[in-house]
Amino acid sequence: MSLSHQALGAANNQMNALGKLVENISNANSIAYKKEEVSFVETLNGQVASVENKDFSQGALKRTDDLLDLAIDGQGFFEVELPSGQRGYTRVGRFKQNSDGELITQEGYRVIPQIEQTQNATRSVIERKPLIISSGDAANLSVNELGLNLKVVEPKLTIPANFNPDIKEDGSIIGVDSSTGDKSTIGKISVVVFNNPNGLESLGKGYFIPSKDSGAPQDTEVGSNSMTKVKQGYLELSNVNMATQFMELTKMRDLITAQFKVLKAIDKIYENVNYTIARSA
Amino acid sequence: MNYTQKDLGPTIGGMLYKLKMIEAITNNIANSGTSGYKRVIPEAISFKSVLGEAAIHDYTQGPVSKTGNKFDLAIEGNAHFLVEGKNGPEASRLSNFQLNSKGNLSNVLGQELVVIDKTEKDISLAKSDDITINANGEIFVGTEKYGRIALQILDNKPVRIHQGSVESSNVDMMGEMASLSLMLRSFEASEKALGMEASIDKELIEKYGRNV
Repeated sequence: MSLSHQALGAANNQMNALGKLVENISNANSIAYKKEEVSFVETLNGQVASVENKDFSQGALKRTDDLLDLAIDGQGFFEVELPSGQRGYTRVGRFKQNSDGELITQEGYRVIPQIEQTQNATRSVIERKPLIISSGDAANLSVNELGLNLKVVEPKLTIPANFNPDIKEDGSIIGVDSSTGDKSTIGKISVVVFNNPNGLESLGKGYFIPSKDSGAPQDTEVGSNSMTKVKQGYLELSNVNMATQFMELTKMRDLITAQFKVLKAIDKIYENVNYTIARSA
Repeated sequence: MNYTQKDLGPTIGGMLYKLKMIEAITNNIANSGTSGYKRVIPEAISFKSVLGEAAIHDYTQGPVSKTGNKFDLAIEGNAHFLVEGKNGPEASRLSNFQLNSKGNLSNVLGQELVVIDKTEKDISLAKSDDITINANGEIFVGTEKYGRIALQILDNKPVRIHQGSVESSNVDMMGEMASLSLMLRSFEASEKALGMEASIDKELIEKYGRNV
């Protein structure tokens, strides 16, 4: 491994790490942003390799008192439906309602409810796609993608017009009639965990999809007595600590400066050697 | 072929040797941010190692520096972690760990950490924020013991694990830069000597070679 290749490789890695620090700093105010970390390891042939990580530790909670602002306190992600039909996962709990009153994200994606076992229906779960299969009229039966004659009804988190949502720490939504105070159960928000959140593929804007490195989404205990809680009226801030980022920035800058001095020294060596060879020819 | 210093001529031999030392120093500087890196000792490079023998490392403990990540584990003392390699348990000193897709702790190379005394209960490290690892390597999820980290201890001195920290490299940047400058000057001196040798040879050949 030539001197210059190794020094350039190291400088490249360090510049990349600097880029990640800048990305963190610029996202310090993004809701539920998880900071990027870069660490260096020495590979077997003596080169420096950089390893990138997303740090999924908890961000602080900011109170907003907006009834549709939710933050997860603990491990876990909300489950949403992406436009492709695929499941996406996010901790950005800044929700609103569409024209039907259904709970959606700022980008318009449906928030997926947790499936409940109800008395008259059999629950069918295929890769966590929520379906309620009910025995309906023959006229209403349609053939769905599985080739079965079933009427497919998807549960939604719809909050009727004059109802205020009261969202408990276990994610269940109670609709409170604003005039009468009557309560009715609307549904329960799905919160899932992954073995390795760092293995999730980032789609941007706080959305993630699972990959083989992250493991499959798993249920977890959510509630006041559990390690994961859903907090209504709060938003999760980024987990970027400005002080640490600036310290890292200084450290990176020192490393890069040292690396460039090395490159300059190597260049001088080559220059001198070339001159000597040329002169003695 | 085994060249000795005599075969290559003292000046060139000296230059190659100094070049090798410069390579060791630049390697140290490049890896000063790598956790667990042990610096190469430039002065310990003998002439033989110019031709490929392994470099000698300084194995003193690097400083333990906090990162705040709950799965970063620094070892203080003369010990290694045991990780699952291709052919069974291997020793490793890499200190950054995270959970893999199976929910087990693994290092940045994807090797799973060997955890012994694992609890029978169904506790998942992925679902909890409250995970403490004490100085003996015992992992607790809340108050429940999850297991113990297996360590390969190399001598009798006490060994401690620091959670939330990594072992930084033992490279002293100022020292390395100073060594680099010295080596550079020394190399330049060699190569000026080489230039003079070459021009002496040239003159000799021109003066006396002509009448042959």
